[in-house]
Amino acid sequence: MAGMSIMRIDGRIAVSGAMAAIFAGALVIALTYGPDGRLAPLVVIVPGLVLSVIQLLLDLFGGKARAGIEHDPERRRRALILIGYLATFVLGAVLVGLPLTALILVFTYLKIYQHEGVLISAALSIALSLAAFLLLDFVFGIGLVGGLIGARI
Amino acid sequence: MDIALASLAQILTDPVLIGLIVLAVPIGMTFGVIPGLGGKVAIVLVTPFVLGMDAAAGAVFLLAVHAVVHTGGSIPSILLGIPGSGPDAATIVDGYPLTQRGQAGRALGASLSASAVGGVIGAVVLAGLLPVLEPIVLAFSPAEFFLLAILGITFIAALSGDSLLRGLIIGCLGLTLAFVGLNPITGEPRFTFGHLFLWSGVDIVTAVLGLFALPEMIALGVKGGAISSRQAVHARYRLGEVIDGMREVFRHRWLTLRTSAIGAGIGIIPGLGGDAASWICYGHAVQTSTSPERFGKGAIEGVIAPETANNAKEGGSLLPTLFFGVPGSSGMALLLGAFVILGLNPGPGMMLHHKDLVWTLIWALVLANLLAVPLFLALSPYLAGIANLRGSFLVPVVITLAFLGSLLSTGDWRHLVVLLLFAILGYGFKCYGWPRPPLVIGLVLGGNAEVSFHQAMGIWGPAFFLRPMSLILLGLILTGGLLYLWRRKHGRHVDHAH
Repeated sequence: MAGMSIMRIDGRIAVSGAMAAIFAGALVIALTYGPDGRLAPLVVIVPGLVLSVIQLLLDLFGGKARAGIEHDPERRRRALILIGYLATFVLGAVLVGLPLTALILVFTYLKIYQHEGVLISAALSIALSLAAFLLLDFVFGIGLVGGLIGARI
Repeated sequence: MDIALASLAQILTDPVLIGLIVLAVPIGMTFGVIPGLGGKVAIVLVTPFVLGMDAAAGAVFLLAVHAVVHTGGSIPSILLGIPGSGPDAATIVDGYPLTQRGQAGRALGASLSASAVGGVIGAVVLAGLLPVLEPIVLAFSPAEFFLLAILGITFIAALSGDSLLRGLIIGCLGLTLAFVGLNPITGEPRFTFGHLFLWSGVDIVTAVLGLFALPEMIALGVKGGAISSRQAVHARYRLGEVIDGMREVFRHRWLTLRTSAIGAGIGIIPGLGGDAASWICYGHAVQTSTSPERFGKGAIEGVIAPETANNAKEGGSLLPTLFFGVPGSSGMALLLGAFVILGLNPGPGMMLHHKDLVWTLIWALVLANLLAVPLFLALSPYLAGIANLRGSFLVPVVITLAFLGSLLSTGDWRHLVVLLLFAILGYGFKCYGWPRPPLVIGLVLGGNAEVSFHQAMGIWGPAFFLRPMSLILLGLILTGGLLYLWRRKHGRHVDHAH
């Protein structure tokens, strides 16, 4: 039909779809609460769901596509690497603590991913690790400096 | 007046407060210098480190950081032709040509004094409006508090991106996330999925770090290379040139006063956005000049006008933020969230019960802008070099600080998973044009909005929407939407937050 663009599944639609799914799921959950518990959420979730479905339909059947990273394989690869890096950071911080994780991952990021020199990579990773350790342990006294594994040892 | 003078005496005689302002100013300027970081990232990264501080001290520190970001942002604008953040773009038009003509020092000096004078006048405007506000604030009831939250989200949605529809959806998402945790009315857990750590709700610090700081670093890591693509050519200057440039503000004093007042006035109105003040005042300078053909080629007034406006608007935008809980800009949205985290409750209560704190913040704004002058003179050569830093160094530093910030705020590793989820969500929003500030506003205001909603329903039932003040606020909400459409039609700059 004139004026309708071909429906494509791309990142733009994925985000719109995710938003609609979030509101739909929230609606289902909110309906399980008592009257006082669900009143305010429904006032917000129902309009949110309606608006996100409208946005999803607009993205599916109309409008210009915003250039996303899925159209650039190199950008997509780098984005996935960085998200994986963040996930590894989380895993490391949880298991062995932030100071040790920062020491290893900052060094590997700078040396391997960014091809920086050994000295500068080591210096920055040690500085960040030390800052994390001092702030978490000495200044603020937060537990889990050594992570879950460190706490058990 | 007694409270004003007492607050001034307190801030001047308290070494902690003075020390915090002295520390905050170079931090704020540094964030302003680095293109792509700016005030929003400064607030989200600095907030975790003020947790546990006295609320007033923490608020003073954060406000001082935020107040001088654009002072630092003028450095890359003038020396490199790259804005430190959106509102600094107007300074490039005449600032960068001045550098190319070998007058970098003069341009920097003019921007420095313009920023200081503008910031002070913005604070004066805020102080002058306090007596006018009191009766208005006292007239508010729970019905209006609820609608103010909706108004705040609507305005931020209207100014934060290319699409009002997406902004409203994100605002609804923020409000939905605010419902995570224990119901303030019944005490039952909602949306916690059986996890005890979510009973206290979504941590705001974790959310803003994940939504703002980490996506920027992912984007920087994807982009690679230097933060700025230009080296600072013709950027050598002498201190004498800077001081001579500082005098330009006084040679053009009437322009300085007018653009400061305009900037402060624009800051008061939520929805116009940070860029609007600088560009409107730049346009005003062109229109009122006797030789407008000089603009765009290195007219010093083209530096003075936007720089006064950038700093003056911060004082103006504090007014709706502090007294109505409606942030005047997306940066103020994050500052509002930080104030809530510190235990302050922006809204009418500030006027009624915390006037001394309000005056302390006003004086902090004045002192931060004044202190920026000598610090700028001392640090500007080094700050200019920061803009040439490789992004590869910045990424792991900010990531580590973000993780540290989340742990300091929550003391619980489980929130690191939430941090990661927000980072992925935030990056998706950034890539595909979804604004992020409305989510923060929804998250920050959602709790109070729900309580106010239940109170209003209990007192008036659904008829609370028909109260006169409620109708006015509903009209303003509609105006926010119309303003968005008008700006879109006329191709106005929007305060891009992604």
